[in-house]
Amino acid sequence: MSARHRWAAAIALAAVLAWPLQASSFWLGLSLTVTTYAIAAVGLDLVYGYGGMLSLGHAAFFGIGAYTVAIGSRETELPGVVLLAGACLLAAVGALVVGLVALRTTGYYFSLLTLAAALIVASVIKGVDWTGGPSGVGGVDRNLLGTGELTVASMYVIAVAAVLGGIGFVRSLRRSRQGRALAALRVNPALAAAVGVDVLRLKLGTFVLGCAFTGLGGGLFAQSLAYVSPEFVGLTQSIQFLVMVVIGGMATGWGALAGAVVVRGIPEAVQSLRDWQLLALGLLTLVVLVRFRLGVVGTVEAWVRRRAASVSAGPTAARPGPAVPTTPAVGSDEVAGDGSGAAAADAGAAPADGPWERPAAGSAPLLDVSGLERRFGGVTALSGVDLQVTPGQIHALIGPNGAGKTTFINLVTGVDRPTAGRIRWRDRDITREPPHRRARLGMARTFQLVALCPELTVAENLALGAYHRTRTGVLRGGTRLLARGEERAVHERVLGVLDRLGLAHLADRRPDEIPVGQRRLVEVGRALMADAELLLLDEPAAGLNETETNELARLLRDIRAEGRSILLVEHDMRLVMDISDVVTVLDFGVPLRTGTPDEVARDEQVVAAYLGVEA
Amino acid sequence: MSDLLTVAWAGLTVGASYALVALGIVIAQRVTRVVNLAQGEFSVLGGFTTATLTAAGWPVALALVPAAALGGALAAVQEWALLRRLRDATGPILLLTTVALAVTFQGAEVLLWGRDPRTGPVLVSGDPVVLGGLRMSRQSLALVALAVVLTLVAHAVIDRSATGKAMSAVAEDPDAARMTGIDVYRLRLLGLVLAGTIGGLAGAVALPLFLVDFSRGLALSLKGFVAAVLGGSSVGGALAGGLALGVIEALTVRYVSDLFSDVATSLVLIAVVLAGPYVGRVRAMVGA
Repeated sequence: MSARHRWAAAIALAAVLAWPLQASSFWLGLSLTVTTYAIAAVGLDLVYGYGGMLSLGHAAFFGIGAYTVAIGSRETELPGVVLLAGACLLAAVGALVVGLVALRTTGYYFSLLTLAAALIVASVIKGVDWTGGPSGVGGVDRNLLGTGELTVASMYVIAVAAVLGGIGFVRSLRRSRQGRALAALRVNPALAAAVGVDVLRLKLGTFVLGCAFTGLGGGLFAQSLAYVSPEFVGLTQSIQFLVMVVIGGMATGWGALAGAVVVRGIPEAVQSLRDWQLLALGLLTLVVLVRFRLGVVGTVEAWVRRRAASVSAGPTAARPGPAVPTTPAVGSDEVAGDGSGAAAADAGAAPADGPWERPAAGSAPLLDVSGLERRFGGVTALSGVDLQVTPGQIHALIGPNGAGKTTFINLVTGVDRPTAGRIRWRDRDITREPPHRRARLGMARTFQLVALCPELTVAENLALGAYHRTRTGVLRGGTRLLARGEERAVHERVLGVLDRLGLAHLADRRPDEIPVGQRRLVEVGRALMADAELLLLDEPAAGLNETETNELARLLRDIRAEGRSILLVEHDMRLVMDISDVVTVLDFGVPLRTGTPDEVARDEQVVAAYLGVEA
Repeated sequence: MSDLLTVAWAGLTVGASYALVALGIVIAQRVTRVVNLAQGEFSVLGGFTTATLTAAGWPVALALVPAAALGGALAAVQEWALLRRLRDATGPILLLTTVALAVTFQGAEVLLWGRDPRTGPVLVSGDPVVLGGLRMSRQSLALVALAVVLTLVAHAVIDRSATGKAMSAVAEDPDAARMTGIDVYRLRLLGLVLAGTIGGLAGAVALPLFLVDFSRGLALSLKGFVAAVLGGSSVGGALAGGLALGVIEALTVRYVSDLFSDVATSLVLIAVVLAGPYVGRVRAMVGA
């Protein structure tokens, strides 16, 4: 979107938001209520749209906020802002309790536990005397600052400021370090953990923050309506919030506002349609889920993005098209240390005054695995595996399909736990360490099935790799100005790595717009961003053509030349024999032989088990 | 003592209706891997249908047929129009789809039958059966019997027959199942129709015992889910879990407060989830 379009959109939005201020008191009051719903929905967007946590009981936190303000206003003389702060705080505490239980589970359990928690909250509110029971609490004052009742118009201005602040926050978060981590988390929790995300902590933090914001919406709602009752805490209310987010567009911020207008504004404005409301909302949600998964705002955004791409690059360049090699094709005799390669390597590895440092050299094993075993029920995927990776070496792990190579990577990176054996990292036992801690120690991986975030650009996917080298938290990420310095350092490094991979021209493309071979390179680039001492690459050459494979070989040699180690799982024997220092052969989970490529290639057992069949 | 027995029987009766919802959820989950939160609506719609038809003069036994058929037909529509199209969607999207479908059904119920609760005539009339100090209405006996019979039928189909084994294969890995020559879509459809039919029938028989109204379906689905989880998500477990949940709820309502029946359900779910890892560990230790 050009600057002129942006201004036009901002002015149009300001006009729409300001319109109720001069409209009748009915419209002003309705707009205020809808805005408070939108605030609550923005909180849910953070939890579900961004965090991927489907909360079926979000009205509980709305209710906690509303009742905190209502009861506080009845029992105390505190100004409204203090009560609103209390509403956020209590909603956050409630979310912390729910989250600590529910986030230990995954899938349906999380959703249904939030629903169960909401039913408890609703039952307590309905069953306890000091919440007014089924009739609720009335007479909530709007004495926000302790200076007397505010007008509806002032309340509306405050609510609009809150909802715009919330939308700005979540949209800014999307482009920040934790926003990228959340995107990874939605696609593949193993990916998030592999780049160093403490998955549980990030989920809990996001959940608590989203619920606190929903609590704020509830508090303002109580003040806007001047009363609360259990109907605003029930299951129907929870579902309405979800419908708002889904129809408006998940993970867009603005979608929550648009959804609140559709879900609450239109039915209130057209009372005669009251009986049709449920049916219409249900059908509309189904249509959105089946046909327009992006929702209203998401669909518009995608359209703008496509248009921008076709305008800036011309219609032909916008389409994926065939791979365009940016570096001239080179023969397999190309060796590391050749002029252009080294220059590119410097660009990528140059420690940008920030947190990146070169790995410490040494000859003690970096990774020392002994007696590793993994059983799945009665099946033994790996057993008795001893393997040492020496700093500055490429160690290949080969074997037929099902030999346990990917299982080995999963065990080393901590996605999976061994049933026996030890994993040591520089004399430190890490067998029980969670995956994100291992990533922070200095290991980075790629996945056999390419794991890239479809909603992030290539550059953002790379930036994800720098996660544990950077600090920006959710709160700072949501206020873009505070995170600028670090973002700039990450961005510079991304450009360096993209250059090194020859992918600079694809920086702003999305993964599904580029060829498969280059997606694999993006994964390697993400691992490079972590500045890891050990890169665990799971079939990086699968799907690459010969030229691309040769490029990859040169890249891996470059990486080794920097003193880093690589554990390479690969089926392309020419590549393995070409660049490896040490090769370990696995067969049905048991190590057959470890040695230099030559030794392994001559071993009769190995040839019988694997190489003979392959070659 | 007789008070406790009466409460327990009331619990078993309501538990039988939960067990039937749980059964539908377990079967649908077996073929689609989706927890179908619209399952409760099949019962509600079965109840409403029976109420309307009997009011129009149909004998109850005859009204059961369209009630059951409606449940099965709507479940087929759910599979065909939604779940099949969304088979590549993520878990939350699928779950949300079943919720949105439940809301759609609720909307239709409001339009067709209004917001007031309905009831209907009993299928089995006659004096209550007295056993010791316990009086059991014949209709409640019929509902418990229906739960037991349908569980046995489902057990025969799902756990014992070749079709049932194929269904498990479909949920486990649809692509692999397809390659072995299994007609994946037919089995998914079959599973959902079975679940929907059970739901419609259950709603029709439960109608005179518990009022039916449009807002009841989602709560019923949640109870069915909790019952299924409590029973270990198996066909037999659905019955056991449903009956147990019903009794827990009845005891809570009688001895704590009638406002806290949902709290009991929620606490059961939380307890099962928190205990889950330990149960798994114990099972692994005894090799089950």
